[in-house]
Amino acid sequence: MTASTTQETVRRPTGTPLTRALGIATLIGLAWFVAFGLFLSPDDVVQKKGVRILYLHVPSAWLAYLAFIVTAISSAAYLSKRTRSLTWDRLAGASAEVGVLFMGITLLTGSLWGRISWGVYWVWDSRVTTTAFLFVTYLGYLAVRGLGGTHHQRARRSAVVALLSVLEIPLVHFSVEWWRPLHQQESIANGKLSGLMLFSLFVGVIVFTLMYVWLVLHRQRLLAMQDALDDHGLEFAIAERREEAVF
Amino acid sequence: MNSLEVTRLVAVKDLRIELRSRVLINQVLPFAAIVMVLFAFALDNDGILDRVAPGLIWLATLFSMLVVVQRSFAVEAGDGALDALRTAGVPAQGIYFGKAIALGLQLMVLEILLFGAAFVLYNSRIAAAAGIGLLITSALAASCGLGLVGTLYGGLTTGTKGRESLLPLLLLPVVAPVLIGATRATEAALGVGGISMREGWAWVALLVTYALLFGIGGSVAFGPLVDDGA
Amino acid sequence: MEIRFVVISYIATFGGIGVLVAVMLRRARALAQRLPPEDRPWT
Repeated sequence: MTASTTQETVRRPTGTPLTRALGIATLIGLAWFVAFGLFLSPDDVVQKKGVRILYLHVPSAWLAYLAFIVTAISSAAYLSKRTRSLTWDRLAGASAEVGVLFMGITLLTGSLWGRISWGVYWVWDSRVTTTAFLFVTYLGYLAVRGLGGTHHQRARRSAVVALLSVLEIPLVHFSVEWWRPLHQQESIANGKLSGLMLFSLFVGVIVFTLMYVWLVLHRQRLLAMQDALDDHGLEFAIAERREEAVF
Repeated sequence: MNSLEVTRLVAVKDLRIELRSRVLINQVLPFAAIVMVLFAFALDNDGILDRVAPGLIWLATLFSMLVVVQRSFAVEAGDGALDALRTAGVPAQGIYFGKAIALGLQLMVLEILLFGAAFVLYNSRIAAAAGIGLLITSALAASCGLGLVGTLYGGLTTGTKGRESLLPLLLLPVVAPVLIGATRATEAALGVGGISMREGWAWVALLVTYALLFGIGGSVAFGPLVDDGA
Repeated sequence: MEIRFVVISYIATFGGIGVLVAVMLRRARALAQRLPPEDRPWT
């Protein structure tokens, strides 16, 4: 490897041509999405400008749930002996971090939208409550990842916690639904949105999914670098001291 | 030695430690009682207290449970007892169910005290004779579920420093269905909140399902969670 | 109120993502200087 390419990869340590192309596509998509969501699409008859929050809210919610499904699947892949690899563990961790961010965005935009449409920031609806529980549960998952130990200890512990969350979330959803059976109607399902609005939403979902892939790829590579540094950290320190002694 | 025998021995061991150290009687039960008194100060209205008593009983149970769970694993982590048990080839399932049974029994003692406190302080009364059966069954099912889940997450957060503070964050979201189910069943038994006896039994079914699911999940997950060997 | 809420939503969303990306890239650069290229098999 030549010096110039090494320089290049230090400047962009987690990027590859693929992620760069993906990143550019995401940026173009986001610009288009914002222009559409904020300016080009018309106000809703009932919700007025509030509908513009939905363009963020729905894709974020989709992304957050996608991220947690990926975390659960890669945790199971790590625990299975045939596919045991720290790559699965790092994918689970990266996906959960991105998922927590988007779950936070979902809750924030959801409550702002709720204040406009329903007059309150929060309703004790099973979907909303389950989302909040998922958020807190995965904050706990990230805390478990930070407990320390060897990489495989971290991986096994957090994978088990991720799978236990899969057990927990349906129980929470079911019990809350039973507790408060009143349902807020989804505004997308009952066809109040016009074709252009649905299209904006659709664009949002696609662009956010691209962004998710970009974020997780980079985050996962960053975690791999962190793990590698933990592995050779001591060797490097010794080598550096030796060099100091020689010169 | 089979798992069943191990389960019995671990449960007896935990309860014996408890009886000798008296942490439950001297520390946890007074804590739970003072929480019930503080609820009364905070709400400051006899009518409301009667209505919300079931929720307060179970909330106080959950908070006290955090202390009991930490205590249950502090005795194991102290001299590396848990590691020693595992190194000796003792099956993880046996340890898990043994500790869960001990924890569940301690929680039942706690619940009896809390119901007594609600009876005296909040003037709670059982609505009908049929309510007694519902009350006892729901408390049993909830204690099983809480014991199983508490042992699972207690095992995870035991050991090195700084992990104990993680227990409430991990455990409280998971036990939320128990709080909802047990509170509704208790409301039915006490005849408050407009919940019928029939609905109360449906909530007991939820509690049983919860205990079963986490019992199965926990028996698989406990071993990997407490083994720190790579 | 509506316009304010819409603006808050967009700022919070893209601000949050922006902060995550900035932190990620900064840490990646710092780590890359301390690691040999063999530890970055994707490059």
